Amino acid sequence: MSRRKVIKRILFYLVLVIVCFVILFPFLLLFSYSLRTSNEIFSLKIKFIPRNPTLQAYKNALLTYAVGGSTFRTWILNSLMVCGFATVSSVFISSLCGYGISRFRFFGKKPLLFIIFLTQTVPWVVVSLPFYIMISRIGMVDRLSSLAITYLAILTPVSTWLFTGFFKNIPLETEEAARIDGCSHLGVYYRIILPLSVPGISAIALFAFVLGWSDYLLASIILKSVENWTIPLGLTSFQGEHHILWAEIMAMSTIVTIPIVVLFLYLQRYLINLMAGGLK
Amino acid sequence: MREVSYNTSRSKAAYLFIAPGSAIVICLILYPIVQTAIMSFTYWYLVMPKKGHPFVGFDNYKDFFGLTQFPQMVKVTLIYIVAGVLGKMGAGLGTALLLNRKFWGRAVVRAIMIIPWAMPTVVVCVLFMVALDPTYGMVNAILLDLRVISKPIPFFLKPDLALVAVIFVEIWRYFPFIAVMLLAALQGIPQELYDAASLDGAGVFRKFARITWPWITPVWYIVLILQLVWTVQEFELVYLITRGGPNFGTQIIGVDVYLNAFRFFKMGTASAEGMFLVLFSLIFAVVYFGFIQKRQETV
Repeated sequence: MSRRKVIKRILFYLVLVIVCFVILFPFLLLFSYSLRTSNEIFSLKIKFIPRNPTLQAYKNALLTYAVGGSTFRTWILNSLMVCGFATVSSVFISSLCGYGISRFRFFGKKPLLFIIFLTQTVPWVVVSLPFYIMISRIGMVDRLSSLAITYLAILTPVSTWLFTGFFKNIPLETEEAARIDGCSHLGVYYRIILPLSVPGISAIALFAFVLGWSDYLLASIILKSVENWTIPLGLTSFQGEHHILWAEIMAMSTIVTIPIVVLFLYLQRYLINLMAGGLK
Repeated sequence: MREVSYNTSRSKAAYLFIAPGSAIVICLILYPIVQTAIMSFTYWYLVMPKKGHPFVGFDNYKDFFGLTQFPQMVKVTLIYIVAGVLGKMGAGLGTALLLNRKFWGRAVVRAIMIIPWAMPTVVVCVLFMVALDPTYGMVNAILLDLRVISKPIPFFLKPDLALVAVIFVEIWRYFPFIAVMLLAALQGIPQELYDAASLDGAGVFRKFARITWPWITPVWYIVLILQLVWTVQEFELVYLITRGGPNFGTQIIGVDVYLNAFRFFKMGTASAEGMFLVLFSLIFAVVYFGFIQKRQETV
């Protein structure tokens, strides 16, 4: 290799390392914060590498951290229930809908596609106003079921859009063969399409789940009492506190982030194809 | 048309598939949006239900446009959108070009690109709130240690710095994802094109302008419009980090909608603002929808 090539190569790796560092730094920072005590976070001479790393914050976060008698365990359970329900039901409904759109011609198809697309471009904060009014009219404020239905409503158009793109990329041949063999449309969907689409469906389900899992906006307007809070409300519960237990909050943040990141990494290939499919 | 081969006649089975989804989309999303539009023309004050909701014409819009902080809010929103999208797209393209070659550890680098996007928004916000704290923040501590700065940067105390900080977080959050999308487009470029160009003696910049750029333009524009729509929608990131402060320095319209509706209970005004925001993203949305429809017809 010529000298110039070597220098170029070194320069390339240098830039690469900087880019990776920028991308990873906040994640590492989160981890680094979570390995301290809350008092240490409030020190002026804070270092990136914790002096006395401790898992105490994780223990406290799971066992003792409480607001008005409710702990992170309650909030995790609430989040799991609400997002679990919303994800399963919206994936079920929107996979049917996406399949219908991608495979059939029917009256009103273009308007439906446009409405589905339109609803995704409307900011959540705008939709949250009528949601709140509707929910308070029927006296369902501060119920987890209201939040679950709200998430179902918000997630359905997004997932339908993704499913439509996804099913379009599945070739039709097997389905046609099955139809000729006398399988019904629902049968084709259930016996052929679903088994073929497990990775795609998991990627969309994960995407939908995470939207709910990290939502602060809708949870903050619907849920009032601490025992009904979801994780994002618990993580921001420090507002107005004098002595904020940052280390515990960071430990909890790490706990709710890691499974998501691992799943994203695992399903990355499918997710990116999906997004690219949605772009086309 | 693909569907033709599968099903030439319009099928009743289609309605079986689309019915539940369409019902949800129309009743639970479209109807509320229409309700917001109606609400924006009425007097609607959450804490005084006895007064009812009389029709007030464009009063809410007038109130909103007449606010003393209205020009400031529009300015901040526009800066946030333009700087955020430019930053994301630029950094995304740069990173995609960087990664578009063979090197040791490429799979790992590609994998970590999804991490900022995968982190829950609340976590990102809480983290940056602490890390950028003017007194205790790690970012200042590290910069001081490295002697890059001589005294701490007061990120959330000055309006301009606060805006820079939230735009930075926005860029950091989404640029790796954009890079991955653009990288996918870059990898579709046939190597022969570059080889031929090299034979003709074309340099790096010429190759980029003549081959790379024209090839990735369609994807580039789609990602760009999508990012514009998403950035107009942004609310949580800014609200959770700064709550619009200090001194309205980061008060993007989305944040003001939330504050008006759920802090001051002025649903009418909030709806009017919301519709303004919707109109904004609608423009991009229509452009985008036209774009993909056209592409589908040509493919």
